[in-house]
Amino acid sequence: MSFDSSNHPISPDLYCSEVTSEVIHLDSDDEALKFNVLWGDSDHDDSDDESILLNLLESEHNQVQEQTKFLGQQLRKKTWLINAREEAINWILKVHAYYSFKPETAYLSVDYFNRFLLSHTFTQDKAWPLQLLSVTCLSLAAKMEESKVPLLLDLQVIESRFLFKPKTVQRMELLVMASLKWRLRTITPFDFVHLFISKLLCSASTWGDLSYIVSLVSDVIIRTCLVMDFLEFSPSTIAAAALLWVTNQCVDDKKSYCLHKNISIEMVKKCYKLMKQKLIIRRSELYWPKISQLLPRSPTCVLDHAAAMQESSDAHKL
Amino acid sequence: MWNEESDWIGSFDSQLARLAECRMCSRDRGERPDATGMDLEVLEVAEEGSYGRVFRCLDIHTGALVTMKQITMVRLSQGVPAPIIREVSLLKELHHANIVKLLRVGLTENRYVNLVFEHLDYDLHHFIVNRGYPKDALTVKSFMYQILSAVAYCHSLKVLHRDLKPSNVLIDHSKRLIKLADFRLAGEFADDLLYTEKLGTSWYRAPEILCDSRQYSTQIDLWSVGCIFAEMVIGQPLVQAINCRDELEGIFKLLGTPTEETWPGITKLMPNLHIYYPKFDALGLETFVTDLEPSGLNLLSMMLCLDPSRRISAEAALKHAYFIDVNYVSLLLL
Repeated sequence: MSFDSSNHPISPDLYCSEVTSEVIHLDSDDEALKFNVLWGDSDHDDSDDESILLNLLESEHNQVQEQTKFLGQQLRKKTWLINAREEAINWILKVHAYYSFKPETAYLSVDYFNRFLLSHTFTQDKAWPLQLLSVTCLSLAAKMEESKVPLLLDLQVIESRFLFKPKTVQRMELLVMASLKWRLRTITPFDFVHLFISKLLCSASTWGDLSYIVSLVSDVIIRTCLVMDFLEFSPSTIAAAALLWVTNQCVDDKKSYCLHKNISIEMVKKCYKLMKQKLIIRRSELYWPKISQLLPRSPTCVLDHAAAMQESSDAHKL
Repeated sequence: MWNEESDWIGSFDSQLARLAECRMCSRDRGERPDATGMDLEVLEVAEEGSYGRVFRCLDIHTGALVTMKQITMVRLSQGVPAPIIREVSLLKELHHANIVKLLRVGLTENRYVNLVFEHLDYDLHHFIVNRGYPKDALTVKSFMYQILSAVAYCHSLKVLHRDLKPSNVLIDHSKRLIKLADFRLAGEFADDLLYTEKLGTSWYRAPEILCDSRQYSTQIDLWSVGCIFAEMVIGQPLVQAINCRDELEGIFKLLGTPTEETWPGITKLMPNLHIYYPKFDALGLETFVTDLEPSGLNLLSMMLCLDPSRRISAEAALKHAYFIDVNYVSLLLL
């Protein structure tokens, strides 16, 4: 569980964080998510990046309105579901790490999971529906993002309490897709990271290793999936806050800048503040458990594990 | 407890039952499927493909013509095939006047996914072959502008089409309106090995793909659009017009065999280039693409540029002098 560290006595680290937070006084309009008609905005430049960013923000706006906007509120009414959701997401992230999937795959899996929870009710005493949903959402995200997708059974190799038949997962896939209205191409924070980096950096040479920055930002973004409070923020806001978080830890840069006038500065500040508060975000080591710890000891163990799970799943045949 | 579990399972099954409500049965090739469950009346089989079949249908409620693509789901070990998921998901997010509309998605017997599209009269391939290629220079220009508008929009959302060719360009005859179709291979910018072998029809394939490069991006679509451009002008695929043993040789005969100077990186990408291909001098686009105004030929040469990094973008192409006299207002009103 996450807890608020702001109640702790002021420490040198916290003091540094307080100082860096002063950097976030961006000179720009405070209007939230103001959208301009592309051709009607005489102020914007004609760069391709600008066009890409505007289209992404518009798509994001369309999607957010009917997606996870109210999930946080609904989840708070069911304490058991908060814990179950966190457990399910942890499982998704472990399988994600095991197969070295892209960061986008992890984020999309959780997005589908969250959106499905909005439209369906689950009873408290059954664990297998959420497990089936986890497998299904990870499978769908992998199909959207990855070049090579493991078989449905292989996705369930790691720490699965139940083992679902491919036919069952396929039926669940169809149910999830219909529930999400087949809208699986979700705008994610990762769509914005490179665009924001190109705006933030004066020149690439000022940063030692750009790919390292991207890696750190990706790590922060994925950690936000574990904290329910981040559900109120749009992907672009999370991307902006994560980038500011990462770069301000690396560089004490007091220069003001604006990522984009259509992004609410207040929301970015609020999101950034939440990142400061949540311990999960502030842990220094990368989230991924070492792969060796997850590797099965031998093929025989895998088969034994699968056989045991098969017996469990038989009890839940649909 | 048992009742609660039963309720959930019942709810799950009833939702699946609704999804599979359509009673289409068509196990025999050629037999017309019963589309009653999707409120469609099947008129004819329009096409047979490796992925499934395409039907011309009548919407029972609106009386409108629609096109239904029926995709067979096989290999249960993989669940719903990724290409289906990708195509539907992408089309759900692409809202542009020059991109075909996906009206709805339905299921049959957990075995077929049925995609219902708006119907357009014919595709550009048929237009070129059966009705004579658009000799009217203004039609060519209008079609090119619409194609590039759709491609620029896709690229701004980081979507590559990857299979642009005349048969994937649909035409609304009365409005002279163009719509891009078939996004099965489409996806975000990525090194997508899984689909490389199926990537695009070879006549419209960019040279960097023909050279087996795994690093490609939006430029591959611009090459394909350039091929479509040329084909509209000369009435046949450009590569077909050149006497050659394969597409790459045809391209090199046309534009000259690339060197490190004309295509930086080519010797690393294709170390044995000069073993397989002689050093051709460029015949030149103007040799084959006659009857195209100079600014059009200039734009075409920027699309059919061997070096991907120098190829024009869709966004920039729309601002090219060739389109200076396109009537924007009439295009927007389409």
